[in-house]
Amino acid sequence: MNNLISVSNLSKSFGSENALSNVSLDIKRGEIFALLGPNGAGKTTLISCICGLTTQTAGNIRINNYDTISNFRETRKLIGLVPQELPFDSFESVYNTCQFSRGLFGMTPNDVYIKEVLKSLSLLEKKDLQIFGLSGGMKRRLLIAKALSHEPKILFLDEPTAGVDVALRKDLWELISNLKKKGVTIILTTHYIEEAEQLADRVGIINSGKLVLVKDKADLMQEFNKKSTIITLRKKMQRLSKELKDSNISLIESGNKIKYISANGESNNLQSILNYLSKEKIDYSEINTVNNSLEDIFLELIEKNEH
Amino acid sequence: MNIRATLTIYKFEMSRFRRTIFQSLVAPIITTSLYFVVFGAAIGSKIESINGVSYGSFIVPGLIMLYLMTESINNAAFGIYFPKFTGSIFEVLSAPVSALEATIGYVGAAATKSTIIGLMIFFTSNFFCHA
Ligand SMILES: Nc1ncnc2c1ncn2[C@@H]1O[C@H](COP(=O)(O)OP(=O)(O)OP(=O)(O)O)[C@@H](O)[C@H]1O
Ligand SMILES: [Mg+2]
Repeated sequence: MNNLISVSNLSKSFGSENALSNVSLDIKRGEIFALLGPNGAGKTTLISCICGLTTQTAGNIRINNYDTISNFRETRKLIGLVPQELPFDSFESVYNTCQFSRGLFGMTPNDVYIKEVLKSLSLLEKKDLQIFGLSGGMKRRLLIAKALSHEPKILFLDEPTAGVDVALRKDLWELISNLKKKGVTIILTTHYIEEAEQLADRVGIINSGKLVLVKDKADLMQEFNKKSTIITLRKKMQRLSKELKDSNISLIESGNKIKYISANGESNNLQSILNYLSKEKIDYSEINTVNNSLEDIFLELIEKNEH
Repeated sequence: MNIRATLTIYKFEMSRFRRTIFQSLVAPIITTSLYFVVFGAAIGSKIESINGVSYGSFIVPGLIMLYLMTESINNAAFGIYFPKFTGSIFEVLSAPVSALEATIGYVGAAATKSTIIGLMIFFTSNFFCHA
């Protein structure tokens, strides 16, 4: 039994609005799963349903083979949640708030462990400070410390790196990779595609409450392995001549550039474009080839989904 | 039963009480003292005692109950509603804690606090009236 979390036919509606419709998803033990999607897609709602913050309208969720509603004690004690917002009881001290989180999960206070967690998030010097004395980025780290304070097996990170500086983002990525090594299953949402590309084993894309696609990151990159070649012309071209008419070739920037998209290493067309240009004595100043990033793939999928 | 969670909530609420000792304990005592002075001593001295009970002593149980009840409602409501308002309630909701366990924690703490306040008011009343 490899699936740690299995969501089946999950729907959630707020009044007449469907935030999630018929989502089915399996999360494997020990993987990092990245959930991508535009604002309002339903990422936070999906996480809230799994963690028990809201109750689904239909469908069910099983974690470690326990149902999240009828067996909530078994499922919730496995989960640590870092929410998207920064909610705090601002007058509590950093250290106490972590012990509070630990206690809520029924665990005895553990000074050594909590200090270790605070240290790994470089918050140890601030442990006696009241929370309102922390900066925004520190608050976000504190949320992560709180989520880790009961030694969870599953960690949900809802946009963990929003508002966090670049150096710290790298630190967080390292922390996440280290947690994975310790066997923690991680589900994260993010708007930084770079982050998913760096961290995730699998990627899920959600749009308007529907799960559009779930794939291994490597496969996804492979499948959409495309290159865009952009040829900058010295002189404007009014329209593409007949010889160049192809679905992969287009004029961009009002005729100043030719864009050519090639899939899976195919490059016959590039040759014919160049041949054509030299035959017609059209000068070009630059040829630029870029690999498609996950970001392009994402935008493409979202666009397709909307049509 | 996740008794530890109940205890954690209880301790958390009690530490909030200690942190805000002035608002939660000193303030009600000062207000009731004013009641004792105004009603008990000033007006009370003009009112005859009935069956040997002076007006000042007569209002003591009423004032204690007044504070006991408002404080227990305020404290329990604040303890639950404020986290809901700021959003930090997510923690309790995502923890393996049942509604009953959380309620016992919050209400238990509120009851303890208001009992302490009631007792303190009872002791202060001794300065103002002698039964
Ligand atoms: N409590 C609520 N009441 C009513 N509608 C809600 C509620 N929570 C979420 N929604 C709606 O559900 C949809 C999905 O919201 P959700 O917060 O899951 O988006 P998201 O994918 O997390 O977006 P973002 O990237 O902005 O965080 C939105 O249209 C939102 O308006
Ligand atoms: Mg969200």
